[in-house]
Amino acid sequence: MKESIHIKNLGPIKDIYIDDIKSITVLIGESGSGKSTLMKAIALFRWIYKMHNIRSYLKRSKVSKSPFRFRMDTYFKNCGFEQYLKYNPEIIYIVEFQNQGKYTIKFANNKLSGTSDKDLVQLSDLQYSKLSFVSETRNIIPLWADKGASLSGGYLGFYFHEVYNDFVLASESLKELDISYLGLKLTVKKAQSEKKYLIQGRKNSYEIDFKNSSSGTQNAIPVSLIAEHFSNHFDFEEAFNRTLLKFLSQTDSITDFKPVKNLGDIQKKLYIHIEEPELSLYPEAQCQLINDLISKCFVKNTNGIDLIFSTHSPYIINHLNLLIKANDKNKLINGAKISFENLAVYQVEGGKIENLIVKNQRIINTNPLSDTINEIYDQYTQI
Amino acid sequence: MEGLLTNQLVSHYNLHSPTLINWFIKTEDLYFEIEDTNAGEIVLHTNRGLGMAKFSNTNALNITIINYDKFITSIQDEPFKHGRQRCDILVSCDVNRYFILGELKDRQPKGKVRSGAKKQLLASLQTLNVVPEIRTYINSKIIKRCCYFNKQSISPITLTATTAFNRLSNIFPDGFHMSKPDIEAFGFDFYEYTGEQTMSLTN
Repeated sequence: MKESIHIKNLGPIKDIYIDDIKSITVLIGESGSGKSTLMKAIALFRWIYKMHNIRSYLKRSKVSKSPFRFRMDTYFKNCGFEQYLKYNPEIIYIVEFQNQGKYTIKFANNKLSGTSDKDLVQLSDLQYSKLSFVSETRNIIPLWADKGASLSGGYLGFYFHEVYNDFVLASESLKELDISYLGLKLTVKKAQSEKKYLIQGRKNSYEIDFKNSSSGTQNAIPVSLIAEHFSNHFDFEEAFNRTLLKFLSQTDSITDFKPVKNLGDIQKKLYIHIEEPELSLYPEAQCQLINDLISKCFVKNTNGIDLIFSTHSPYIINHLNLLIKANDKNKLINGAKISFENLAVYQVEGGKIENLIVKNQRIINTNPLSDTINEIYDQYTQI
Repeated sequence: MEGLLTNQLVSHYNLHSPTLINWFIKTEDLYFEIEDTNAGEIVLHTNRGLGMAKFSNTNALNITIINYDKFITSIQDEPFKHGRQRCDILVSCDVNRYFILGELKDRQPKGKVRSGAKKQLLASLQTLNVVPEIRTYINSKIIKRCCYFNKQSISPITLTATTAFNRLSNIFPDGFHMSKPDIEAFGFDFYEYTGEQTMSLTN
């Protein structure tokens, strides 16, 4: 399966085309360059394609009533894109299969196309996917979790609640998680009707509430917990059945439903999107977090995962080169390695992207992230 | 190549002939570096570490280096010159092998150097490519490249920060071939050379 996306006139994005979204896609660029916009647009269209698959499955299973309508105005509002609509954005997302199956979902002239009954996904191409978006607002999770009951009904934005829901879901299946790169352990304890999130130091030297841990810990733990949950503990069958039941009961179509395919025969995919995994971490810990993330998602995983993350860290981009070489030499760096062929690194700048993969070597060109240090000392030598 | 600029390009754009002094250099040196001075002159060095662009010429090819920035600057016709982006150098050899557009990193940091360099290279390609005779000349060359030569900075001797960040260019002595669709549309490849990375000119 190959995904491509072409985005024009979407906020900071002028014209971006990615021909093949790789299993590990990394976005670098200045603040406001459009990294998050790009990642959110990809996540949105992956979600629309997911829902189109669910509708295709139901239609092919004799459920004639459509269980939902796509409401682009709501989705754009959730993504923070609503003010971009006046600039006539255009997004074309294409999924292609080796068997010639090709599905094009297009948003242009304020209209979505490619999701009607004549565009249904073929049986052989049906896919059930789960998306996670780990936003930069994840640092509010500890406080929100601590005050969850009293704050119920509050709204901190679509992406916060997405990551919070995934955090809660992950902590249902994982009661303990070693965060070895920080020398810490997360423990989830039930206290009456609430969950209590605790952080333990090395050799249980101390135990504090998650909300009182360092900012680096508060940012890193949701990343590791969600990655571990989806890579090894996510129950596709339970999620799939829950989704089906929800839509069948909404349309009162349970009696019509004649499943055309079992979940076991449907392709499954997990997509994780992370905004700046390195937030509040010291450079060495940034690299260790990436090792942990890559190890969970691509080495020790039982579920197939595609990962996109944005970063400002030159350490992380340089570290990826080490993980590429580790894979080439059949070695692991703290359990991590990256296949060069599965990696893409893009610099987002001026509304466009540049591929930083070097064509004549098996490395990423990290020079764009070294310019700042060079300029510091250019100026140093001048004054 | 010099004649194509002073005759065909000038004629194509209906310009006055510029007055040019010391605007190209010819060399057969086996190794040379090119420096773009603060005064806008191109200087050739055969000692290491003095220039921004490094070339190995093991077969002693007859290489011409044109100060393209100086050529464009010398043109008196303001409507043509005004706002026209240009790269620093054009490099060609007398056999039908190489044609290189080069942008040398400025000595004065101005920010956005990297993206600016790429724009200057692309704009130069666009200026040259519309002149039929120059297009024919370029098409006769086998290896066509736009190159960004990025001289590394030197930090105080007790600090290793710049050295550490620039280690990649020591591990890979050849330049980096990068994807740049705008440039590739002209049949050129885009290369980036940093620090000690050297462009190898061979038969």
